[in-house]
Amino acid sequence: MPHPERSSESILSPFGSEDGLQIFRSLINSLK
Amino acid sequence: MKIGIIVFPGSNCDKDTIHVLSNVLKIECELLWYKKSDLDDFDAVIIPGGFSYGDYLRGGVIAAFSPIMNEVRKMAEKGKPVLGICNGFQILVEARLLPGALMTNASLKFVCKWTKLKVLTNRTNFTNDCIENSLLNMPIAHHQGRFFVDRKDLSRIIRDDQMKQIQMVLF
Repeated sequence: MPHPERSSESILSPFGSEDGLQIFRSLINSLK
Repeated sequence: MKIGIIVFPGSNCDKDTIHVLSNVLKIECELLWYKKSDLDDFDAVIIPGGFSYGDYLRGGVIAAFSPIMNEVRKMAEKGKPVLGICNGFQILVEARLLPGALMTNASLKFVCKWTKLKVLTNRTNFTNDCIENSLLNMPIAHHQGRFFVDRKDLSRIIRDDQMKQIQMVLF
């Protein structure tokens, strides 16, 4: 199953992506 | 805004999660040991991945009976977001906060690799920052990730648009 916390910084991604951040930002957006 | 990250014996992605929230997104958050009994101070909770109770019996099943899950249920009933990541998702399913069951992978092997997730809708609490139909690079790791749901619950999931949140595309 997906791990957004391990794909939230480009240094951790073989693709240089930070896509996991979108999941956490979405959660935070929902609280504003 | 304050987010709680619940830690069970065997959780191992809690530190990664608090790092992202605290250091990358600068959000106030706190690790919550599973014996904590009051979550009123928190606006949302995340149940991180790992191997709670060593996956004994079945992934997530023992953690699902922890008293803190009663508090998580109350939060969900109040409409506060609850995000389960990997083993956290298994715990939510075992606690019946989510429908269905997670069975052993068809390959009978542990899967650990990067894959792509397709965002089918951004009208949810967990995808509103995403672009619809975009592909997200994300690592996956699980032994019990084969989701099963009966026809009755599947109909309800489809009706409530829950299934459209993110579709995993295995390349």
